[in-house]
Amino acid sequence: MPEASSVKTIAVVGAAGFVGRQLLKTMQDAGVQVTAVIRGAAELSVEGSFHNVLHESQVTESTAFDLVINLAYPNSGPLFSYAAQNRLIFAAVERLMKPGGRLIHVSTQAVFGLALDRPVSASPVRKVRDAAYVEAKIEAEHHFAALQKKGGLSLDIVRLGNVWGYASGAWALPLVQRLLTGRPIGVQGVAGLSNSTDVANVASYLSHLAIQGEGAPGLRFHHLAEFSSVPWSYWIDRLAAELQVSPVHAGPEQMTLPVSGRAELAEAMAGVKPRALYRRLAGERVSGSWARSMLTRLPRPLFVKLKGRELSPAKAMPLSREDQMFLSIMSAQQEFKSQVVAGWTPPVGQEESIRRVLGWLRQEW
Amino acid sequence: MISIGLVGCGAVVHSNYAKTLPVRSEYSVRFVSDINEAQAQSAAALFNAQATPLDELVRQADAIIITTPPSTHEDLVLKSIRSGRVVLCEKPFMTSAAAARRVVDAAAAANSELFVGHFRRTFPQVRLARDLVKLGTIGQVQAIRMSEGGRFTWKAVSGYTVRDPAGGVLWDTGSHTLDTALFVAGMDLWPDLELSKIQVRKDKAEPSHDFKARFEVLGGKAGQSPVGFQLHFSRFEALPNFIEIIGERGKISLSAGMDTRVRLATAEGSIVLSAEEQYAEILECFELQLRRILLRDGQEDFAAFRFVGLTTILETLSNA
Repeated sequence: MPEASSVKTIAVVGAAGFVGRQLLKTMQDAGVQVTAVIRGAAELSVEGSFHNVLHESQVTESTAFDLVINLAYPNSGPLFSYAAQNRLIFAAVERLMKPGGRLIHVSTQAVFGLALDRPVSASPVRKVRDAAYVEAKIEAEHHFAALQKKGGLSLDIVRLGNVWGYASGAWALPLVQRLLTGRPIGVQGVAGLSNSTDVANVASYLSHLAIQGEGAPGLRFHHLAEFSSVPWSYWIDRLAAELQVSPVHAGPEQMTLPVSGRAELAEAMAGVKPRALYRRLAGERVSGSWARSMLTRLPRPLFVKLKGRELSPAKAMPLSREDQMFLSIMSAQQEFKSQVVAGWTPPVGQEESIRRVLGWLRQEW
Repeated sequence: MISIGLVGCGAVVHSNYAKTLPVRSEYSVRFVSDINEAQAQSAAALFNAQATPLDELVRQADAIIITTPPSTHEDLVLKSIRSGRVVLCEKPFMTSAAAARRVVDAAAAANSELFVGHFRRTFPQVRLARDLVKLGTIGQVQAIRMSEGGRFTWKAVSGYTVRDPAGGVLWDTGSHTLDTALFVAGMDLWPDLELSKIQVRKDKAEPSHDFKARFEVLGGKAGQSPVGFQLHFSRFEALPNFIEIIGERGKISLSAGMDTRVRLATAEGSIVLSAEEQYAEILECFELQLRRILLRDGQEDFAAFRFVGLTTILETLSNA
């Protein structure tokens, strides 16, 4: 583990989450003093194992830090509240930073689309209509980049691939859950790339940046997915063998989005409630634009009139929107290749990563 | 129109009841009561109801729903029961099996209908799995495994989930998962349960946040072998949210959360079955439970006597 550089005080915002807890442990193991900044009732996740905890409400100008690592993002409550939640996070991060200080902001590959269906590059992304989570992540990148431009701070934006690993609630768990209960876990004939990264490697890389990074003013992008070329089927087959179940795959025809939602539209528009309609649409992933999102919900006669063609409903049993969203991610064809600083290598390899996940599954209950 | 009195105006009222109770013509919340006046006023505004002292609510409401922390349930249920009245007590029902028996007996003696809120019993996959067990597809149930865990985000206004001995992960999350398993296996109808061979590992004394246990349950019909249980509930760690019912001829796996699918594995192979009912949102199931109880249409699944066994398990494990 490298020696600490000139960075004196480090705060981790969003420390109670899956990546946050692993990062705290990694930095503690390296002998680096870190303050965990948490919000709401999140202290439960870090109490007992980590004692240097600061509640967001306790942050003042005198508690500003040399380096802030931001892992927080809107992840609970109604989707329409994500923008407001984002603003609270931005304010908290800014209060924690010294003028001209250093920020490592952790983002996601999903800024290129949940299914990675927009061109990938280690540079700023445009704002587009997407799932609320993606929009919030893009907004955060824009906000901190603007702050960097204005204030001359040192900003590293680290976009993570699909974070999986031991007890990963984002990826290991849904795969196991779907295998156990027979929900579709892939699409027949489609070999999607996992674009994955082990949480231990994420923590190692962030720790490396924090300790070794020079922190020169400027904006730098990093992409982290050391298992980008590993297909999902590799992880799934190993999990399925452990659980002694056969994966269930959806037929390609089931991936057709249902294009008519007359009842839902009528309900959402009852009494003209644009907010209700927004809440519905905000919960879905429809890339492109609001107009396109609306189109998928048009009553059939109106759709035919506007588009000059008939709807073609899916023949097979339609999948839920949640399933469709999940499977579109599992079908990603584009690779999200790592672009990391020289001198860092991931401590956890592919075989060790799956070994750790299987160890989590084999825990004695 | 059934007038409802809500006793307790905390997080579950503001998150779940507020979205599922005010929209029906057959019933409406007329009275609310809470020792926290601000919470009571907030709930009163939500339901366009009257914030009243408890005694006044008990005197006037046709049906009473109790949503306070579990340690207060016994007194409030005993105060609420009255001939012909429906009383719905939120889970976890009681903090001891003796208390559960006392209130069940008292309700029966008073000719009051007492129910417990365990809305996961309405989940499509749960009902499908229960039907499969009833039909004998896996034979006699021999073992049950379950786990449920993830980052804990529930913000109880009273803070009981981190202070009350009956507020830990076993009583909070675990009561849901265990109840689902007992319901699917038909064990909620067993008149008396007895636990043996108990092994417990937890992070701390109650309220604990990480709870593992192995034990056996006796108490079914004559000739019923003990059923082995393995469980793990956690507020620290993501765990598969699932239940596995293992019988002499096969096993059934289902999600602990709302789903439609059940995996049935027998010697002939494994198939995935899907329930006909589907709900877009979990609160639809919460509302379905309320309708069944308040309109007395399928209410028997929630009758309080069916939760005495669950309370026995929770009490025994938390004291182990």
